[in-house]
Amino acid sequence: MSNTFDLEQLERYLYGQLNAEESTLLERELEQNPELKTDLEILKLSSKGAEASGWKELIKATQKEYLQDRSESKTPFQVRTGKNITLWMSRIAASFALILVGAFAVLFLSTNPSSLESEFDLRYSTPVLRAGENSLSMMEQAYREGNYSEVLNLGENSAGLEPKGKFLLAMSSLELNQPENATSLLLEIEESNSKLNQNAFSDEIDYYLAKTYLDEGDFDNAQIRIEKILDDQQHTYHKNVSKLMLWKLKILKMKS
Amino acid sequence: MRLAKSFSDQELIEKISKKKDQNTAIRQLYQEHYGMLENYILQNSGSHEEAADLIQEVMLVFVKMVSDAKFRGESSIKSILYSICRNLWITELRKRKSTLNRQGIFHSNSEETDEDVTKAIAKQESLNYVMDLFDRLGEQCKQILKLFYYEELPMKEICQKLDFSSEQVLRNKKYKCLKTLNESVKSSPEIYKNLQKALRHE
Repeated sequence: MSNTFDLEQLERYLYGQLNAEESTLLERELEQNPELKTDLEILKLSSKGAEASGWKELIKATQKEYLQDRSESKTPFQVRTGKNITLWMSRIAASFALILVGAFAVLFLSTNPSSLESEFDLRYSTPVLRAGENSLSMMEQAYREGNYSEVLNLGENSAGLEPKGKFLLAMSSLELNQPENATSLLLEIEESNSKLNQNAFSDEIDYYLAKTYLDEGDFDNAQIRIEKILDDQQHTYHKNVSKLMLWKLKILKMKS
Repeated sequence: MRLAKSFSDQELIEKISKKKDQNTAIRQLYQEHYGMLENYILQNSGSHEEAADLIQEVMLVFVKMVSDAKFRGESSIKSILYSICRNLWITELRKRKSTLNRQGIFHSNSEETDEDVTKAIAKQESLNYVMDLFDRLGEQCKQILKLFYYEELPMKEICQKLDFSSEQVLRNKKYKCLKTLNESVKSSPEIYKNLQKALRHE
């Protein structure tokens, strides 16, 4: 190291921190003193070396991290496939969930009593009988001809009607949009069946009661009847009701 | 090591030259170019380990070129990295001359040589000697010099960070460390020879 300028002054010169006079003096000395010039170059190298060591440390750490990440992502194919399958399955499940939510929303918004009532589209048909075969023939004839008011008139004058007569009256009431009357008649038949241990029109009673209850807005009782039909695979009307109808009924209950 | 955003070449150069968010910049260089550089080494008789060692050197040369404003984005980062890698690997292979002859992996004369890259590599070789000497300093010296020359922190901040009683004590310690390093550099025959050669050609 030169006796005239110390390390601190040389560094200040490199950083442009010497005043003009000091700089001129140093530059003159540098021209004449090769040892000082070497010192200055060594100082430059040392400071660059210290700086480069900082960069090297950063580069080394980054490379280590990069290679580690890369080796982790190169895990066996099966594992990656497993991850992918799980990812795809969850995506598919999410899509289905989204579709279900959408479908439910549409169902919720579009369900109303009349839309569900329209699904109870089975009209009761009487078997073809020869005229005068029994006392109910007139009522049956009128019912077949669609003369429901006449059926009700005939039924009014007939005290102690048999279940079949009451059933025709109930169906005619339904046709004439008198669900309360139909419900009452159907329940009478059901009660009579229970007392006499009979099964007259029992399946029909379930189906048409579900319809009359629905018409009346009695969703709880309608649900009981539909569930009964759904649970019994031998039920005559098992194929005429569905779980979707039950869902719609539940939506109507929520809405009400 | 996922990056949220990909920076342009110019943005990367700025981050490195200004030492602003340089960690992100280096990370992106690795993500985008490591595979390409490794592939070059592997296709030219190198192993994965050799590629890993050489790529660290490639990155260091590149960073120095950017810091010294020897590369300002005149070509793409990809092509300059490739050029540095090729030059360094050829130098390495030349050291294994006999193998090189057998395998015919010569650096063709017709192949364009980037003068700046060649100079930067030569400079880096000298700097590598200094870095080795730097590594032999005590931990505290290395910390002080790194915080000052690499992190570019003001003395006041270094003083607080390293818990020195005063800036003057720190300043004295810093010059002592620097002096030790300078003396090691001066007494290193490899560096001293290169230095004298450089001064003669000035």
